[in-house]
Amino acid sequence: MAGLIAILRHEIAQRRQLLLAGALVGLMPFAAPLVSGTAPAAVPELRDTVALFLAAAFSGLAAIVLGATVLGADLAEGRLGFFFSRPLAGWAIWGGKLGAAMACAWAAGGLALLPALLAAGGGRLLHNPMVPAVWLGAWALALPVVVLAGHAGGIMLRTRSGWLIFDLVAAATVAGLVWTTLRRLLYWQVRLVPAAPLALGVGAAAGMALLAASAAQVLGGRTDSARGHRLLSLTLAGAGLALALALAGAAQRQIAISPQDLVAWTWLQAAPGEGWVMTGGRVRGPLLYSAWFFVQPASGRWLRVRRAAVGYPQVAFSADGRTAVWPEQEAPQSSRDELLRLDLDRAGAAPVRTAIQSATPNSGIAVSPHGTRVAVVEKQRVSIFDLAGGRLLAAHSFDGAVEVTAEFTGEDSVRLLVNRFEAASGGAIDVYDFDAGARQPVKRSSIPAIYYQPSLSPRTDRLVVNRPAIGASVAVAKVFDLTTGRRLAELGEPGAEVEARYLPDGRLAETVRAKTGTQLMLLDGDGRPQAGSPRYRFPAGTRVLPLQASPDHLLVREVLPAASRDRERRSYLG
Amino acid sequence: MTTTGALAAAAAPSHLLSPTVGAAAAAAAASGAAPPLAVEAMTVRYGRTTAVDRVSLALAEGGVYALLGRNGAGKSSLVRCLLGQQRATAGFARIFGRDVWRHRAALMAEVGVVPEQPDAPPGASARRLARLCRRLYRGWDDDGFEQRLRRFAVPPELPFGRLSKGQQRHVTLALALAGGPRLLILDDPTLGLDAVARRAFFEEIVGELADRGISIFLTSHELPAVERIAERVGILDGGRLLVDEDLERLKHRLRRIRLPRAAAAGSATGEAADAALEALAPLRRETRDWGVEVVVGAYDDRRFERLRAAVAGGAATVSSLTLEEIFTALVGHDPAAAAPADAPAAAPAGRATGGSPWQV
Repeated sequence: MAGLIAILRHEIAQRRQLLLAGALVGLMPFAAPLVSGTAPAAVPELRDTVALFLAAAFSGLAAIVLGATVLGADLAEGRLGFFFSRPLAGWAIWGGKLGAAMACAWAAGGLALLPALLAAGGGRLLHNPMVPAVWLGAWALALPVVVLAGHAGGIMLRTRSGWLIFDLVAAATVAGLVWTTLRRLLYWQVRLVPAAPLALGVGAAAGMALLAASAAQVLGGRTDSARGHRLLSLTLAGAGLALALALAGAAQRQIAISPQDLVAWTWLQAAPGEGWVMTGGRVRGPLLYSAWFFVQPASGRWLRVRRAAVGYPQVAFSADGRTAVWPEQEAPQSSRDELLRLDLDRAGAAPVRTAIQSATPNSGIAVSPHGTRVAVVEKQRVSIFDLAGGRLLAAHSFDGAVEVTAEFTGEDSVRLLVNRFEAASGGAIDVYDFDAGARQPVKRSSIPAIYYQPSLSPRTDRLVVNRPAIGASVAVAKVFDLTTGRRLAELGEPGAEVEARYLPDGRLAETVRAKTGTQLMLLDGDGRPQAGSPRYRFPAGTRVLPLQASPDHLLVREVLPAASRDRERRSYLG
Repeated sequence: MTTTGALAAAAAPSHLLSPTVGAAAAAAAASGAAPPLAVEAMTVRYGRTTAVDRVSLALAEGGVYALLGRNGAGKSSLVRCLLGQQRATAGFARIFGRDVWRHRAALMAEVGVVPEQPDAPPGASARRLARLCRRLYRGWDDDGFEQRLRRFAVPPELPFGRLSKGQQRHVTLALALAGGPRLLILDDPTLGLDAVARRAFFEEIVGELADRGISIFLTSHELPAVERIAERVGILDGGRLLVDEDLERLKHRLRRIRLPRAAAAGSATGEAADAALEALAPLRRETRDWGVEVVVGAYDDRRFERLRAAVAGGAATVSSLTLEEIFTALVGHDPAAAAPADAPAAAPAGRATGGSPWQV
């Protein structure tokens, strides 16, 4: 230990000019406002920001230079023998020199920051909006890794042995493996969160690999630069490959999942008739990411699908239950979507890419009853395509519309709900029919209602609009006949939250949340109670989301009062 | 001085090696005391190049061993392995009986080193270097260090990199001696110094020898100075140890014999003279105006008398060689025409010419 301390003291003393330079750099931020002519009120913030950037840049540069020279220069110039011909353990030379380089890099950054820190009284500098304090901490943790990386690079370049080719090949191999792994993760839309622990883990792993490599080079190679380079390269390549393979293995474990690996189902959409459902939710494992599947419960068959570039997954089923269409992100990092098709009734069918693409996030899609046409809604524009060939059959833009919803009423005809803003009533919903063979959509009716939490009946002839309680008004769910625009029913009770939505079989599920408890009732499509239909009761405060996996089964997702709002939101976003 | 001569004998032409090799090593082993420094069958390779080829040697307690060799002979590679700074491809180096590679740090407390190139950190002054070393050596001699700096007129606060070569050497020597070493390893310590500095350097070593009885292992091209202080000499050539022998014995064994032309021309006594000269193991022959000069490797008085009796007129004369002359005789061949590593480095004169050594 005495040797380590002796080397540390010696090496730091040798670099005292760097510390002096750090102190001088620390004065530069005080000149920045003079140069830039900043308004007096903004001077402290500018000074702090400049100080933070300068400190980071100076300490980073110092870390690279010190790392590359503290051992590498001595080795290349034949000066390392001075230390190895003393009663100094190899680890003391290694630890003392690299430790001194790290300490100097830290000290240089700290000294560059000190004047601004003193002027700011500490608190303001650490709460700088442009450079969060956590970044400073991360940078301080990263500096030793930068020193070690500088050391490895310095040894490789200075030795100029044939092992440099090995280094390049190994680096390319590791980079290729990591790149491939990341591409796979991104392809399957795995979110690399929580990001901070992940970055910390990767940084720590890289730091450990570099630390082991530098130790092997100094302890095993001593003053023999060729042997040292060989040991450094072999250790680094071995550790790098091991880490890259471990990363690939962990990624494979996260990607190669089945529906059984979902720890929470946050999405369920059933195809008409018995057969397939689309489901998804949070996946087991440390990464907070979600996955989506088509599942055929009867056969146990499943297919994994990706979601669109932005937003939630969505799927449109044909009314005959034989075709599913959904948008998927075109490629990792792409903002475009492409539509995929799955023939649900064909055994062994695989997703087929269509020629239909969308550059608009959250496009709405609908499929014709027999799956030959698809309608795509991009903002105010509706386009009808031939699904097999991707040919555009018809398109129309509803300028000024807030939102447009499309649903097929026949193989070539689409019902459109065009939500408009109206100053007097707040909003209206215009109902149009749009035939693929016609140039213009035909207006059928207009509903004086705000398009809020709507639910369209599977036959597209009914619409329920939910209006929450605002001020003294009572929450209501209004059921409309879309052909005539007539209101068929108004659901709601004083003092209770009501919400209604259509199930895939055409029935209306109404949930009433009152102080005494939550009830779920099934009504007919016009909003009338069904004879003999049971009422499902839940504890007070429970929020209920009725889903339907098949005509005989009602799947209900409950959100209990104890669940925090954040948790619910997080589980949806998954 | 002892030698592990059996291995050395296996690696070098037998007529060059001391007749006592092996016997000295056996004596050291019998005494039970580990020599300050011993090398056993050491080989150092760089890729396909063999820098040191199965070298074995040993340094006796309190002795001075000079390892000589031309540039590129393998001396520095051997020294780096001796110091535990480089791992030998095969074989061992031991200091005070302990493997240097494994116990380097502990052993260096008893070893002072002056490297071929001064290697102290260039930004540190002599005094700062002393401050570092003071923490590492138990018996650090601050007064001795300061005295040496004064004696060599080295500015103690000037950075090492700004000192002259001679001053750098003196600082390195002062650092090596202030640690209180039992063994001093000097790798061509006077390289690049002027004559005065070289002399001062060796005088300092001689002074230390007289004062403390430190064992010294030395490589140098400064052969006259080496001749003054060395007790045993090893000569490396192409990585192989040609000679490992006490200097006095080497100088007795290798002599210069001069045969005037009249004597060389005596055909009647040719065969007898040939046989007598062969018995002296001729190493190198030079033809002069006045006759022939032969360096022999196995001189003794009786054999020489036999030669003189066989030569017409008894005109043969014998004289001693300096270490430099011995060195030149043994390794002074043209490197470009050097024999392969497994062939004798210097062939006997008679065999080299393929005829009688008398032919002019």
